[in-house]
Amino acid sequence: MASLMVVFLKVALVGAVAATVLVPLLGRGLKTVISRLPPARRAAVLLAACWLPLLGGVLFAAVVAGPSIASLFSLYDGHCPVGAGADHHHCVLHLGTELQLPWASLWLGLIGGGLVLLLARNLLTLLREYRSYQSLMRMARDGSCAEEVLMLRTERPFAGVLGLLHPRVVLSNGLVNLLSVSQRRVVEAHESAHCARRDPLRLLLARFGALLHLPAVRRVLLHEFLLATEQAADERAASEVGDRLTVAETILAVARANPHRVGDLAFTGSLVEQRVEALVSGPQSVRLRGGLLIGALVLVAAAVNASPVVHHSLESFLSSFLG
Amino acid sequence: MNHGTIQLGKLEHAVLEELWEHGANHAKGVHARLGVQRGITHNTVQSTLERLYRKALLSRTKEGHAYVYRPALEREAFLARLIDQVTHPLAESLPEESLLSAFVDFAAERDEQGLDRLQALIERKRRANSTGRDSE
Repeated sequence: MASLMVVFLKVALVGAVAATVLVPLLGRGLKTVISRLPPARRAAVLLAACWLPLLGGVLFAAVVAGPSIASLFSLYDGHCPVGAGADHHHCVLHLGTELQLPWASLWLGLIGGGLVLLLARNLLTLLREYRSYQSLMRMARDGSCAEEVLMLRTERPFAGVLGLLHPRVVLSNGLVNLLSVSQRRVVEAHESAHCARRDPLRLLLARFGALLHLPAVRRVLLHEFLLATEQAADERAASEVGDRLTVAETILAVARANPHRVGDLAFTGSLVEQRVEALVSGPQSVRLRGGLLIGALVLVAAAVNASPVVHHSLESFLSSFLG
Repeated sequence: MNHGTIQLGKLEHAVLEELWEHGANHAKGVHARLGVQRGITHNTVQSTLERLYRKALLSRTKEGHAYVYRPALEREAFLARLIDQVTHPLAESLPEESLLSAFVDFAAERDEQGLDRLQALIERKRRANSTGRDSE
């Protein structure tokens, strides 16, 4: 059983590595389509993309193990060396041969070990961050009565959402004093949208899912995901206050309140710029039918897997890798 | 002394708030105000003050036989540091790696020219919208 688990892990790891390499190649082609999706849909697609290596690994393991498990229940015997008269290929349940490429295990072990270390490092960092996060939340709670919006008693401008499972809107006195009534309404509507969507939890999921991607891909994915998340909250705020330009102006007013002042270098390509430009240019109109898209992808995957050439090539490749 | 990230427990936070509100005090004084009310011992208050001192959040001077503790940072400066830490937890981290959904990236550097350009863009759009409405 233990060796079976090892084989599954190896297959999943090969699948994850393949997905990690394929994502940047596919991403170039799909980037334009994804960028035209409405922000909330785009955020969902990008969150799934963050988890693609893991999903790819699990899917790969399921595809490879499927015929072997079917043979265990005598549903199918074409893939197992112990099956009667089988013209078999690779079977993950009855391993007949040793590894043909011994260093393959070494590489897979190194990648797997590296991933475990990366995960442990990020968990420790997260724990440290979470303590600071809790300290700020405690100070906000102490500064507020039973209001829905927590107030930080500081002149420092701040507006955000704190809390993973039960997120709360937190504003600072310093920021509220700078805003007009309509601008404060925009900020509260925007942050309430984050609460309703549980965006801090989604950010955390994206951050951990994206750990399996190559660093450059990870950075782009997380940036695009954060942008989509912010734009989804902007859209919700715009529909609540009934004016997109007021939302854009509020973003600028809050950005101007930021105490970190520099020259001309930092702004280009920033989230503020992209959010304001999107609000000024109007809502995204392209809508892809999610169900239809997923159905088409499943059909393509099934067709590819059903093709004997593809299926047996995949098994032969894995046999040489896994024995 | 530790000048790193700020991490406070509930009691540490309560002790700091007490010192911000009522000023410098020794362990006995803090215990009289806070410990009795919370049902905690003098030793617990003493060790909390010691921990806060080691975290560089309190300074202390010896007066007679006892240390008098005072906040090393004003409440405002402490909160500013905490906000910075939460918005950008690590020096090398990206805003998208924070757990926080902030209205804007409060730790990012601000560019006046970029903001002016965007303001002009919004004003142009407003004018275009009102001209469109007038001509209808």
